[in-house]
Amino acid sequence: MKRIISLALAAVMCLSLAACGGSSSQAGGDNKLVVWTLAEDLKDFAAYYTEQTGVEVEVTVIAPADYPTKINTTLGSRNGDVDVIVGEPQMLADFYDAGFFADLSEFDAQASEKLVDYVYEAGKDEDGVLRALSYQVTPGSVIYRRDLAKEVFGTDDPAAISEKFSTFGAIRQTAAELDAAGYSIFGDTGSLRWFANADAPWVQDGTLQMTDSRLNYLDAAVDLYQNEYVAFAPEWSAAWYASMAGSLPVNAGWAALDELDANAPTTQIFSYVMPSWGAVIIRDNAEENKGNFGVAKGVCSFFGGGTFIGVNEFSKNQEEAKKFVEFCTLNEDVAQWWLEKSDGDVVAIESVLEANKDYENTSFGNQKTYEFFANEAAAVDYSLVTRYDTAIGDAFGQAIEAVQKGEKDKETALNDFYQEVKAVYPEIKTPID
Amino acid sequence: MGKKNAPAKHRGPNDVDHYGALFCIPFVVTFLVFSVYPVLRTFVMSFTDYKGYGKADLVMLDNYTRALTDPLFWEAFVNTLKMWGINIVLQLGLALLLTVLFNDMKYRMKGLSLFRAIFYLPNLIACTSVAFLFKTLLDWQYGSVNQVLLKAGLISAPINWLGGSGATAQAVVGVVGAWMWFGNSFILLMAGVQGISRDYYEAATIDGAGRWKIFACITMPLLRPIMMYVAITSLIGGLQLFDIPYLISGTKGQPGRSLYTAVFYLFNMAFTNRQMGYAAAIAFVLFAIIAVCSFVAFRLMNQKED
Repeated sequence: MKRIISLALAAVMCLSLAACGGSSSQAGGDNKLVVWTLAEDLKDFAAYYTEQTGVEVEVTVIAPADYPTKINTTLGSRNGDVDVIVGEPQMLADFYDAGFFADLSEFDAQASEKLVDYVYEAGKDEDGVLRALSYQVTPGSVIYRRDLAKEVFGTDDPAAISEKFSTFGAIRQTAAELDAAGYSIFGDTGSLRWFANADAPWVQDGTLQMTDSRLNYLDAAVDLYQNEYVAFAPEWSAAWYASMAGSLPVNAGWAALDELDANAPTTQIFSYVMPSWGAVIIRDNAEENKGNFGVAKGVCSFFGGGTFIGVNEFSKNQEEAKKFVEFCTLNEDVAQWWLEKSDGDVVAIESVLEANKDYENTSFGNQKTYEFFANEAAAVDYSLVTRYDTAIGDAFGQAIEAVQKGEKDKETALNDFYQEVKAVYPEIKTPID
Repeated sequence: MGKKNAPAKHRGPNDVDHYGALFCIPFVVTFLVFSVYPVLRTFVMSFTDYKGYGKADLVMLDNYTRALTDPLFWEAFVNTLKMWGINIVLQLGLALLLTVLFNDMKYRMKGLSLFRAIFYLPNLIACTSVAFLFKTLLDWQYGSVNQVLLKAGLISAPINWLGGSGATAQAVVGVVGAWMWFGNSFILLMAGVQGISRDYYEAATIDGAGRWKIFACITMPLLRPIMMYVAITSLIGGLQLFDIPYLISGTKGQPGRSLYTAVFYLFNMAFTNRQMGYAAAIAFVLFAIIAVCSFVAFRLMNQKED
């Protein structure tokens, strides 16, 4: 009896182990494509591709925070089960170095002719070989409240507002004017981080570039914080989202809306500095303020995020995978389809942007937002982006925060920042070397 | 008739000589694969510039030289010692106080089993939950601690426990650690005290010794080995402090870098900055430090016993 029970338990264990494997997607069978992505967009592209070509596409969406680990683990073992992979710009350099993205040189001529410059540049590795393409551009802007602009500055003209955000000094002046009228210029000082690369990359020729512009950025961030010119509602907090529809309590922090003190003093946020996908977020949260926003330029042109698509170097179905990538990124009809379907995303093909430049966006006071974003995307200087940006940017942000809160004076904070850069990247020369 | 004419030993079906080795195989294989191999692989990695992907070039002792001369690593190490220091003083102090109370012959406090279980409960809660609990309680705007202190009139403005001074934040982590582990220390000290012969206490009482004299001359000296054991094991664990400061600081080590511990620094190097080779070297430097501390502590403990 004991032997029978033991054998039965062993058989159940073996069955459960067998069930663990074999459930992951198998690429290549019956021409099915397997796509791993971190954005929901590719589900729509996949469905459209199947509709147009009859090829089945299986899309798995992985959370952005988990995506690099998943790709490193899977493709690090040269797994060919995935055909199409993606990456955000800050991930691409590492993925290229690891050899995960296949060569897409056959699309080089098309890409350089059709796509916005910075998208084409970001898709190349350090040897200039094309490895990824994107269907979208994500240029940034200052998204401002037209009604508050008219009240405080007497105009809501984008060109006039752009002047108010053209330098860090102008931003400090604008913040003071808005504060005098009872408004906050931004949700928090983190909005300024998009302008950190205004005039030089963080690292050039192996040396950390602490330019006057970056020091002005630090001074502006400290000034806005210590004078309470911002609402202290961090990006992505409940209060930050709620501010798009109207007023919010000052100093809400990360508290949920029902935790906020109903009797606390309130303010309204004048502007949000975000890439073009931010405009969609504002449109979707503006409620009665829909139509009350405009887009203007900031200290410099910038971009943020964006999904770049490539082919897994180890895929057994590279031909079909490359056709899918070409379909998503280099086909004008598909770009026009996506522009209409997404109702707000800015596509990467210049001719399609040009064809839609007269579109008046009712969510933004009938402003020609495609024309604006097309011009901003064209002005992005990709040579200012380096693989060090994320780590060095985070360390600089912590230095700024220390000065804002009075924990360190500016000189000590900067010295600590240089030490931190040195600790992480000993090969970079810093001002304290 | 001699031994050479004795029949060959017959192995029956119930012979258990080989079963012992067979039963050990699963553990040995698991241990080799999941413990020994990763340690060896990490050691080899510490001599390379491996980034977690792609090829790894040999850099020999460069990573170790970098670790030994890295001011941020040593700053993180000193932070670790500070937080552990606050923890061990509070942890042992509270455990000792409770041990004395529960062991007092005059008071004869009841409910030892119940209290022992209650004191041990914090040790059973997952570190993640503890970190989020204290982060919520100590929130400087909406946290319960500040609300209670304000209502009681003990403070006039909310205290920024976790975002103001680095020393305050380190003290908070030390107190949280003490809260989690004092129950464990209490159990060990109680076991130590109950191992002391009652004859010593009775003889001292007959000789007219007071409560504090008995504590200083009998309880403390005889408890010293247990206390040393608690201190050493706490040191070994304390030098690997990571989860509470990591979570309570929102993964950034703030305020300033005050909550950056040595293992926190290692984690960031490996998984944020993708410098696996250097992180591996830091791991082995830490291992060497812990090994030396443990060796010295055990020698001291053994000397005292002698």
